[in-house]
Amino acid sequence: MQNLFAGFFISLLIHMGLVLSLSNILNIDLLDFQAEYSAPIPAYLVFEQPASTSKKEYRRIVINEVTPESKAQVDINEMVLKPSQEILILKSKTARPTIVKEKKINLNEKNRILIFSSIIEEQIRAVWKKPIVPEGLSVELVLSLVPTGEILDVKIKRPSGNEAFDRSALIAVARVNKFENLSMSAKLFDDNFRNFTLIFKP
Amino acid sequence: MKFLNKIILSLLIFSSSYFYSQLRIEITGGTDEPIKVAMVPFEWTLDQAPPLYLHEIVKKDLESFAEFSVLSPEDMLSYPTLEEEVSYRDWRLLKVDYLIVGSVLKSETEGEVNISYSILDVSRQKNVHKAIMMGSLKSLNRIGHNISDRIYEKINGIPGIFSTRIAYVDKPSANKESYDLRITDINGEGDLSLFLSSQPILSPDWSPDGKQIAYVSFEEGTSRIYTQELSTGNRRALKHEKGINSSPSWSPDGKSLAAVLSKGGNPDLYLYDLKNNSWRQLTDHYGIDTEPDWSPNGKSLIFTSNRSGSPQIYEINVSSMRVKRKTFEGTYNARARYLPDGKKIIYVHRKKGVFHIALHNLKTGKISILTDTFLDESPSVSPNGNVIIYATKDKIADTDVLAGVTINGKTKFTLPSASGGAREPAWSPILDKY
Repeated sequence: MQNLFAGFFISLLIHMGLVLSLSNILNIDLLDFQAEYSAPIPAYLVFEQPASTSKKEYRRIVINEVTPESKAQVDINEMVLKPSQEILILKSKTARPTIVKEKKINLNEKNRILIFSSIIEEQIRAVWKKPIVPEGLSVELVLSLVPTGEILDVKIKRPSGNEAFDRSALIAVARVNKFENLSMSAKLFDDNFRNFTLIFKP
Repeated sequence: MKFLNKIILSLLIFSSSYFYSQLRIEITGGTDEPIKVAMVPFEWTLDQAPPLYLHEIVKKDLESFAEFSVLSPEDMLSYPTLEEEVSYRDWRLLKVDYLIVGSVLKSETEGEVNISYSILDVSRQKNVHKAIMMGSLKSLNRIGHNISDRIYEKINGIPGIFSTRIAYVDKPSANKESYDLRITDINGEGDLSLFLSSQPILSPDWSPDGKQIAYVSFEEGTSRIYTQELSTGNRRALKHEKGINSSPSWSPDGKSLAAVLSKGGNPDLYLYDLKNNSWRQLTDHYGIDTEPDWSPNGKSLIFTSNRSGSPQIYEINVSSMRVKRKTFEGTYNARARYLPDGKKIIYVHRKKGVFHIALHNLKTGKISILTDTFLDESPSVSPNGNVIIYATKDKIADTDVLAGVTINGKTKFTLPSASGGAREPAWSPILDKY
């Protein structure tokens, strides 16, 4: 009897583990897993009914054509995104996504973190002058930001052992000084971007 | 059961790791823009006019491998000579990454100068390095190269090579009758002769302290190995054995030389003990084993052998004597040299009938061809591992020249050689540091 219980318990754990890890791999947000995904709404409904009467939320992304002069530092094609995020890969090379504010967006949190991470990565890449150091080095920095994107503090969390390499990373951060295009909700900022780790790997 | 528990635990940890860890953003690439350096002309307090300008030497040095862009004095907005005088705003405006300020001051000793300088990080307004050095007015040129080395090391994290030298053999040509063992600075200055002979001179190799050179000379009619002290010119012959004595390679501890002897009937690798003047056999194979080179840690040697039919690179562990083949691509791989990290080697690789210098990562097995010239021979690595020098043919002038390439393959250059018969370059170790 005891064995049966143990077996049941273990099987339960394995399945839970599998479901959780699969959901993570396939990028399915379990908390977000509601009826809206299983029942697509016909397009006309969206236009006939006012948004307030519907509990359903929509994903909607508007693409702004940006002229080359005003091209943002972020090149969307450089971002490495998973298939589920490919909705964001846009028509034009110079296009930049802006998220429509008037409706509540249901772009899941992980996607948003990824996008803002890419924005940060791009801005660092643009100014990091990597020295010719031995292969296999990496340095970890911890950055503290304020919601405007300004860098308050930077500390070396794990040095690479090569002073010049560590300095090149610190210089890159100093040159950025303030991250642009990081407008996000206070919660998202506090949870992820107030303090985060930057890893420099040549 | 325990194994199963571990699986469950790792699955749970794996699936939950995303929710609990701090955000980590990985930066794997940077901009291709070179690092911008500005060196303000140093203050000069001596009565006589400066024989040369340090900032000009440093500019030439730092720009030689296209790794830095150096601001010219005429483009500067201010000319501070002390750290306290620096207005960082000026230099940020000019997009300068590193600023060097300093002065050359009169010394109490006649003919001597005191030099002090600082390397400043402009973005963070910090002093990276401060140095005070003394030297003679005559050696100002070498002091300049030394400052370049310091700047290079502080910024790039690997030693600079502007004070290093290259030994090479100059073959007889139309206006020259003898073989000439010479050394030159890497910028082509200070070229001088070490040994002249009417018979061939081959395979120069530096001692690890940079004070001696070993080479093969045919002056006695047969190939013999000699060592020569640079400061005194004193020569010493290694104990001669019957047949070929060739390809000396100094061990990293300086106590022995690996070389090739054919006294056993065919060329094999031997080890020469410089203290006891005795030879010890390393390889014994009916094929030809030649061109040994020591690994930087002194534990193994790489060499060329035709034991499998075609010349390939092998590695022998000196204590276990185990031999392992290292190259499998192509039918000609020879004259291998380790890079200072010991993880990569370079060698002459034949591809479609043309000889090139190849870089081979021993760990990953990745091979990349570094040169696009013709008949490339005898590569030698700079002591910081960043540049390779080799002998090649100048197709247009039909002369032998020494050419160089950076390890990333991006920058290529030719060393100025007057006679057009330069062969067998050997890069010195890092020489005297101030």
